[in-house]
Amino acid sequence: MKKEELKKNTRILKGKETSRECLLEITNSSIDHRQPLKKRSKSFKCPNYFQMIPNDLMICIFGFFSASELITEIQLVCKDWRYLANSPILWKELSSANVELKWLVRCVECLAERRSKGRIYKGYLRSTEAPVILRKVNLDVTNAGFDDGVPTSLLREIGYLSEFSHPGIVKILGSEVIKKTVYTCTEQCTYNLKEFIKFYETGNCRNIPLPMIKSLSKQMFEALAYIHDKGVIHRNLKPDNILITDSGQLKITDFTLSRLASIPHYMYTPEDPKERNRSGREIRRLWYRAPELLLRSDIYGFEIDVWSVGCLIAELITKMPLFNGESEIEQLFKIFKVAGVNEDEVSTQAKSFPKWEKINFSDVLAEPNSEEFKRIISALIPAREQIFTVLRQIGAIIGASGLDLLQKCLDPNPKTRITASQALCHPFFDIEMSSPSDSLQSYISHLLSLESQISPSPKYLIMQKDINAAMRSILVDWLIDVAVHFEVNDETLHLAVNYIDRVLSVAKVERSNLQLVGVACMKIADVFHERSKEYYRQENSIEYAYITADEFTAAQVVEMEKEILKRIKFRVLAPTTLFFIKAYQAELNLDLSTYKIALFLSDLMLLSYESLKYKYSLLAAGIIYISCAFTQGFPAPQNADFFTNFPSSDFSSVIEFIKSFWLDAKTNPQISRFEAINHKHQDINPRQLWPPSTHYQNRYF
Amino acid sequence: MFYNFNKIEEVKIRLRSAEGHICEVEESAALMSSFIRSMIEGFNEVTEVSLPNINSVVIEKVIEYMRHYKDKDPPIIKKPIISSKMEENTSAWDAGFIDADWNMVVDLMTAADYLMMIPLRDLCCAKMACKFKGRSIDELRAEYHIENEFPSEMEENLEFQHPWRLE
Repeated sequence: MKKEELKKNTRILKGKETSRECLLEITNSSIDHRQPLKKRSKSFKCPNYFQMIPNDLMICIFGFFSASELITEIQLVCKDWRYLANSPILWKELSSANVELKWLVRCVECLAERRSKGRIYKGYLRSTEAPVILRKVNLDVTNAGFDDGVPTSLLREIGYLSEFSHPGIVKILGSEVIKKTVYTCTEQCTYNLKEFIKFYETGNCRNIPLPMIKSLSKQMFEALAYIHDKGVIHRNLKPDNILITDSGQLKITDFTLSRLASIPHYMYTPEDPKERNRSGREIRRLWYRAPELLLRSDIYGFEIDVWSVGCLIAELITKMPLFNGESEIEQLFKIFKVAGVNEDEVSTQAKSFPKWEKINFSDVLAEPNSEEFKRIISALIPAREQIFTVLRQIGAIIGASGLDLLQKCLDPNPKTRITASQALCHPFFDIEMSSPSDSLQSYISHLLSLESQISPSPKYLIMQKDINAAMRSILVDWLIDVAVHFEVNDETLHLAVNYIDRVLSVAKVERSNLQLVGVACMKIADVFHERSKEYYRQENSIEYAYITADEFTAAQVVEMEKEILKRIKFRVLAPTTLFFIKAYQAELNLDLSTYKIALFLSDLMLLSYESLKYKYSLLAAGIIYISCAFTQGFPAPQNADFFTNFPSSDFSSVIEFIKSFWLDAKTNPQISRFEAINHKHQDINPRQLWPPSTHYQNRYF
Repeated sequence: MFYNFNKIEEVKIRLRSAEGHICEVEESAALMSSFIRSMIEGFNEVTEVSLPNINSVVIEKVIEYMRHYKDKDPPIIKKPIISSKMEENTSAWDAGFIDADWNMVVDLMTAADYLMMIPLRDLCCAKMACKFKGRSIDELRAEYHIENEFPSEMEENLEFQHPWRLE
């Protein structure tokens, strides 16, 4: 009797009825694309128990279960329960709680399994039903047969993607390490460029329409200009790594080979020396590589990405790769046939190649019957007719302005090659653009925004019971020594200290573990930024454990590394004083002796816990000011504008701070006993240097 | 709020049950229910609320809860629940209060939802969750007479969705 009443009553509650209908609509339309769930059946099998409970209350009940219980038990009981346990409403709530990533994705298909990349699953986010890619990497398998921590490729991809936010770059939805497995989740698009081109090949319209080509190329340059402004080179642009959504939005993915370009450029380690030797397997990558890479240039920059985009634009038009060499040397010859040889190329290798004249791309548009055309044809070596036909085909679609842009992208000389932001202003893209953005300024503002988001807390030692500022200094001093020993570069050292400070800001660390935190941070920075020579031995963790005089084991280092990545939320692309100093140096163009003092001071400041109360940008400016004062007596007037950008009271405070710390490092035995820094900078002999007596005066006003 | 706290005698709200019985409750306690609040707030003269879909027994139970938490906040039950015993998930009073038979819990849950009393609704839902917690799939099916509707291939499909289930 009572139950019947209640049944009636629930129907009376009109609001309920509609919300339930709504829920059915939402979940039913979007759930499991392979096997859609049926509506809650009318003839329910167990009326005594659940029929009088409306769906939203059932969801509320299920809300008291953990994600794993819902998936491994509740949803397997019956169809109704399965439908309710998969309700997006339920999962939205769970997503905001601290639920492991692997439960939040409903995987439907394993797309690929590779040793280096792990298993890649296609799936849907339970909370929104958005299509995603879940990558699961088993660290035991990825590294040479044993767990050696998170590998470079993953750390770079996660580190960069976490800091990028641009419609043209794939979004990362989360990443986590659980024991020996790393999970990362990124958004998924309908096609990659390869499939997109195939789709057009097999479809009714044979050619990709010109507006589409323009839009896609423009989006490529936009995304590229964005990442270049953030100081990152992609290094692996190929059709597989360009995704396209249904609405025609292009997204660049796969930052596993990317790296921070340094200002000014220095020699990078190759992307992955082991991979290079397997060029047969990586043939597709070869096709989009810039000639300077093939010629083994040690110094290269953002230009290599522009080259790849040039190749991709040509491929969009002809639906064939522009340069499809079978080997590196064939690839080079194919390039030279079209683009000519780089005149600046000093490599003796290139000089011994046959001399090919550059084809002027705009020539291919000449009338076929004209005298001029015959002259052009006869000027070409016979072997180049095929490529000439291809260029004519391209020219017929994108016209003179398109050919001009293409030629500028495919300039064999990286120094004169067009940049991504210049390309955006090219007349090929109809919209008038005033002038290319100033990439140095956008790089600095990127650093400033990073600084406002991820900096250590300046007073973290208050919450640390077991460590004090002196211990931190001892650790940093020791790390400087390690950095010299391992030949890691300065950025790596500065990043490592940033990680240490951030870890200490969020977690209590025992004294006995401080050194372990230090090496683990150093290892992360090393793996993320520039792999030291130790990396190639593949036993990074063993080397880093060894350097602690076997105080800790390799397993402990790896364990701590994962814990740290969790604590700093994988945000490994962090600001440091050094990045600011290098950017300011590029802006102010100081002489070498001043710059060396600045580098010395930036290392010295690492020793000081107190320096954390100043922002990295301010500290860097102060260091530059003092360095100028040291070598020139007073900063050059043309640089005055630069310093007046900072609030004058803060600036004089930071100047005094740096000077007093420098003086302490000479006289205070607490700090002067740290010898590693003097040893590292022995070329300027820091023991003999004394801070200048100049005070900051705003004398330009 | 228009309620005058200086009054010596508190206004009583009369709740009319499905059977037509009147249950009285102090206004300050009744305001726990957002539904009742929206009915009487701003109308000083309204003192009776009709609840045609809740019976007297349930209303008495709701009033017991209202009176207990008149002056304090009910404890929040942490999600996910950690045990199948209510005492380990929430306060002793709450656990004792909700220790009732299936029908009572369901009725109370529906009533709390209708009256928009989130803490009480959550308490009931948690109690229901406790009844399922820690039972195997087969036990649940047996206990609540649920048929196994999944053909074996479907189970395989679920395995596939979570390849790490067995890891």
